[in-house]
Amino acid sequence: MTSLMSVIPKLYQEYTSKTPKKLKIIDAYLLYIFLTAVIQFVYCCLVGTFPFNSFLSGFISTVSSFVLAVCLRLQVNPDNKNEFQGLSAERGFADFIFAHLVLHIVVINFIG
Amino acid sequence: MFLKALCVLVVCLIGASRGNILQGTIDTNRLQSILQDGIKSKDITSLYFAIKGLKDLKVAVPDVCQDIKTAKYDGNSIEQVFYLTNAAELAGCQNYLSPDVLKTPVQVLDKKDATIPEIYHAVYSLKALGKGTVYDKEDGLKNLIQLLKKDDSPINYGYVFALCEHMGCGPWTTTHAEGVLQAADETDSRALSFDGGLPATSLLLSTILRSYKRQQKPSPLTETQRYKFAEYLVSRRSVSSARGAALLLAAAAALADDQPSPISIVFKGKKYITSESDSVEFSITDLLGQPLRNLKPDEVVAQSGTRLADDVVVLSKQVLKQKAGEPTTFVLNLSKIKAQYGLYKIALSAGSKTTNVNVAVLGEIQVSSVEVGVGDVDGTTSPRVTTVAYPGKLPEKLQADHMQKVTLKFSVRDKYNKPVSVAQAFVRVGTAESEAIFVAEHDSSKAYKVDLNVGAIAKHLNHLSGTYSVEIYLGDSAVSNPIAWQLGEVVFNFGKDANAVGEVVRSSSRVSRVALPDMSHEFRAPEPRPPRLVSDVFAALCAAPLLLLLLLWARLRVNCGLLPASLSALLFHASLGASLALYGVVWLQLTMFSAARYMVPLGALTFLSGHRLLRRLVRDKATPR
Repeated sequence: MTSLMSVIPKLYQEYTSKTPKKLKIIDAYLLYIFLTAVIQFVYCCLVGTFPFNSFLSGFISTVSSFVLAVCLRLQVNPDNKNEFQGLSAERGFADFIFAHLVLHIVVINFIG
Repeated sequence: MFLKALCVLVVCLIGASRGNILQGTIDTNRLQSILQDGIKSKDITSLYFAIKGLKDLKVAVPDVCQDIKTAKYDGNSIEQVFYLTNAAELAGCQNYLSPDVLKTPVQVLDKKDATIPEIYHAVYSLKALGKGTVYDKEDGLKNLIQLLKKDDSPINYGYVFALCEHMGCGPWTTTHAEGVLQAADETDSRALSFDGGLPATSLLLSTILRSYKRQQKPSPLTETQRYKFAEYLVSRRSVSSARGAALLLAAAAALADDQPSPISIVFKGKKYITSESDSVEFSITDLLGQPLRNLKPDEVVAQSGTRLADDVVVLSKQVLKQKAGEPTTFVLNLSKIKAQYGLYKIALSAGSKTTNVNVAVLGEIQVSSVEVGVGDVDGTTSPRVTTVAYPGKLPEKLQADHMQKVTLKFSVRDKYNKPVSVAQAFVRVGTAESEAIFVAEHDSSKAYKVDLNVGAIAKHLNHLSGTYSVEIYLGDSAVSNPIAWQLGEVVFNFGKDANAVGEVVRSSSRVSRVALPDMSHEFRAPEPRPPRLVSDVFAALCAAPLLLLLLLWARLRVNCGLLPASLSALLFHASLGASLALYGVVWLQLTMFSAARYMVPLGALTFLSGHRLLRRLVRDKATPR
């Protein structure tokens, strides 16, 4: 337990110092998406799922956005440069935007 | 064991000889009334046969000479002339006839191509008028034999035999009669008759038997033939015309006269005994219902009697008593077997003939009481038992639901209080509209029990819960007092899949031939929404992380420093924003198709401007200023 207590501040320090600013921006975005999904889920547990399609579209929207953002983060991360040979960060961002547009057509249709 | 085997053998033999006994006689009283109706007829045919039949019955014929004189007939028909002349002869009023009637018979006999029936009618017409010697014996018979070669039907033989009686060629008859008898048709291997029906059969039997008798020869008929002809005559008892009645009587009289005549054994009156009247009567007669000439009274014996239910021999060699004053009636006293009811088979012999008859011994049954129990199906609790004494009713309506069963227990006893079983023991449960009948089974101690499992009987009663009456029916073919006992009423509750009594049960197989109601899709009814406050709070909560995001980004010092001040950047952001705004509009009011129309140019613009912007960013990165 004590080791955990000592690890966490270390981890945090490492994160703040070593992580590029771009990734921190994406991480903040991920946290935002995650919290939104949690709040939606809590609402659904407390109040009920009706109308179910609305809840589902909202929840799918957050989950998918989270996944897309994670994908973007992977591509943008300089540590993964070797993995994505020939794919620039800008190309990743373009894909991210395009995927979002397609995703949200579906979401809007489903939301009713 | 040996005795039993012998019994079985005897029973078998008796069964085999059954065919040799007639099961009925000719009802002469009925035939007489038909004939007496016929004598009032104006038709010469009916009149002739009525007179002839009544003569055969030896009944006085009223004076009909005036009727014969005024009777309408066709003078050119030889048959009609035959009826007229013979009726006049039988009634003894030849003087009433005009001499013109002679003309037709004489013409027929002069004719070259006269047929056998014509010759017969002509000769007997003349004979009736006292001019019978016209037809020559030798030439006549040769001529008739020639005619028979053309048409050898049985009735023609009958006419020739009759003519032979007149001409005195009886020996010819006796040489040919057996061949004709062989040609008789057999029906169902029971009855014999000649082709041509009752007229042919009657004519042949009476002429043949008369000829044999006149020549004092033994009868040409075998015993089997005699019984089979008798069987045929008995089966024709439903004749309704004077002609049929007279022909039937003539044949039956001839057959009954031919010894040994066929024996008929039938029940006289009832076929059962009870404890009050313990004897049955049989009528043992010949074909015409007359006493048998050569039957001694002590020859009528009940050879054996067995109970059908268990083949126990109950009597043997019991002589029947002839009833005083009625020589055809024989009485069998069965007081020995009246105690145990059931069906008995009795082998009855009269002379050399034996037949089997079934006699029912009727007994009285009684039911003292019934126990009606209502209990759980699984038997966890002891049933509530109500005892009802016959012929009482249940003191109150019993209640039983689908988890319970109603049990009825009773025992049937005979007059001597011994438990017995009956062939029919039923319990009826029903209303005026519907009913279900259940069979009561008895156990080895002959105690009857019916279990009405309420849940299980529901399907027999259309699942109609309500009040049902319960009745017990007891009967048997050997029971003189069948019992129908209205036991009372029970309210059945068939539980969840019950209808109320009186409700019309919809049949699932009903075919609809009218337009069915329009179908409309029903959306799911909206569930109640949460209060406005809750929704608002959560809407705010959902938006809150956005604030957090902005806060975090602010802490990270996000800036738009890299944003190039160019047209493409502006266009890209504007078009992306427009796309998202379009989504919002689609959500609120547009359809997918109208949205697609806007989306295509907007998408293209976003793509182009985005492409341009990002390419520029990459280029800027590659070539830092």
